[in-house]
Amino acid sequence: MKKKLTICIVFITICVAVCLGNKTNAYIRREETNNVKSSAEKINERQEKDKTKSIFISVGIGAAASTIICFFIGLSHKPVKTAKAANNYIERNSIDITDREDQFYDSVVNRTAKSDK
Amino acid sequence: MSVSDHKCTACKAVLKFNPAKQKWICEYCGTQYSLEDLEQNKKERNVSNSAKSVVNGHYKEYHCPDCGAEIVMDENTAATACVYCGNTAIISDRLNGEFAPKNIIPFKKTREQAIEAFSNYKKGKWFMPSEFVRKENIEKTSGVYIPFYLYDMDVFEQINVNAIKETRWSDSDFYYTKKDYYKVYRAGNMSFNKIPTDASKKFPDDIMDSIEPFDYNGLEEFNSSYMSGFLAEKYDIEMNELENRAKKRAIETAKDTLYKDIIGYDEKNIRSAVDEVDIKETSYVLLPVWMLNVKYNGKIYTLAMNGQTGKFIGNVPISWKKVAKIWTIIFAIITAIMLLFSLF
Repeated sequence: MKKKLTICIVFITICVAVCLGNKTNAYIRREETNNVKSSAEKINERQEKDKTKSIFISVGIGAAASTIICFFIGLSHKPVKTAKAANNYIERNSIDITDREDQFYDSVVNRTAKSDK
Repeated sequence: MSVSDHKCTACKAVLKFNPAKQKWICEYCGTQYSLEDLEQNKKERNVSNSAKSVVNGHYKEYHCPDCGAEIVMDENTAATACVYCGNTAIISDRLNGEFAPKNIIPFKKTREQAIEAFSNYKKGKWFMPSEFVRKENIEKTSGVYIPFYLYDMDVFEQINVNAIKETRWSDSDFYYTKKDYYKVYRAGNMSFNKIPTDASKKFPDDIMDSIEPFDYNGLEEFNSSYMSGFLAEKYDIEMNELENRAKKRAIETAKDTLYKDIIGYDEKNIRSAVDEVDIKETSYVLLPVWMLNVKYNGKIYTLAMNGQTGKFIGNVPISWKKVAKIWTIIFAIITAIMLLFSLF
């Protein structure tokens, strides 16, 4: 079942990548047939760049996200930890906050020009 | 030194405590005994058989009161099983006087439940080799009464915190961020009940911490009869040596409680803290734990189950093959989605 699922997902990814390529090529061909060569070349170039960029970004994000997810799954395999706190043993009705003080002592305002952003 | 056990009045076979029924059962004739029955039997017959003990380094030899075989155990074992007849030998001297536990939580979970819990220990463990949880990998399952100290304490905690309130706004030309700085102080009292610390060097502290909490409503007055069919240890760390561990845990919780009381700020950092801890009461108890030694790929893994609540815990091996497989699946899904988004 898992094997089939893996094959399916890999297949879908390849299909999407191929579609992306075909779509770009079809657009370029259409432009070429319209004899707008200079414009087609520009579009071709721009789309090639966009395509490569989006593939790189997708692969990068995919790799990073799956590594992070796997890391967190991995943590659940080592659940044995030394206890740092005693939250289970506090008597909730014994909590008595005897003193609260909030003292203001400084204020700073930062200004950033909108054009800088 | 004396070794004691409990025997069936009908057939003289050894009685074992049954966690599911909370009774002592003769494994041969099936007769069931309550704690009161056992106490009555104890009065009627002398269960303590004098046995010579031979000291050999850290180990001592006893004679099984049932079959006479030699039982070798280390200096801290309080109850063990004879390897020849399976009789539970309770070393009474290690549970009397200074070693007398105040309370005990009897086992509620059976060996079968511990093994079952191990077999089902798969939830969320996608990288664990599926063969790991095979029952055949279990080398040893022991029900052990582990010595614990329970600390009751009052804590007076004070914290000084640097806190910041942030306000943002803008006009036609600028973005503004205003940061108001505050010195915040909180102080308070709180009480802690029965913080446990494992009092035996034999058992890893992290595993013992991880199977917490125990339900203290189940604490019974100590009676060695509960040990029939189980192993037990006596403490080998003094109460005052473990005090600091319990105190640290209480202080951490106290700080956190006060910290959570500081509200309405965007940033909070504890600058300093002062704590006063007053230990009100300490007690020495025995708590039930199922220990499982699992052998996988030549390595021994120790897993444990809380013998009262059934909480099962243990570190498990990771199969890098599975990691690669799952990484690829997640990678493919995310990449496909990203590509689809960029396409349409």
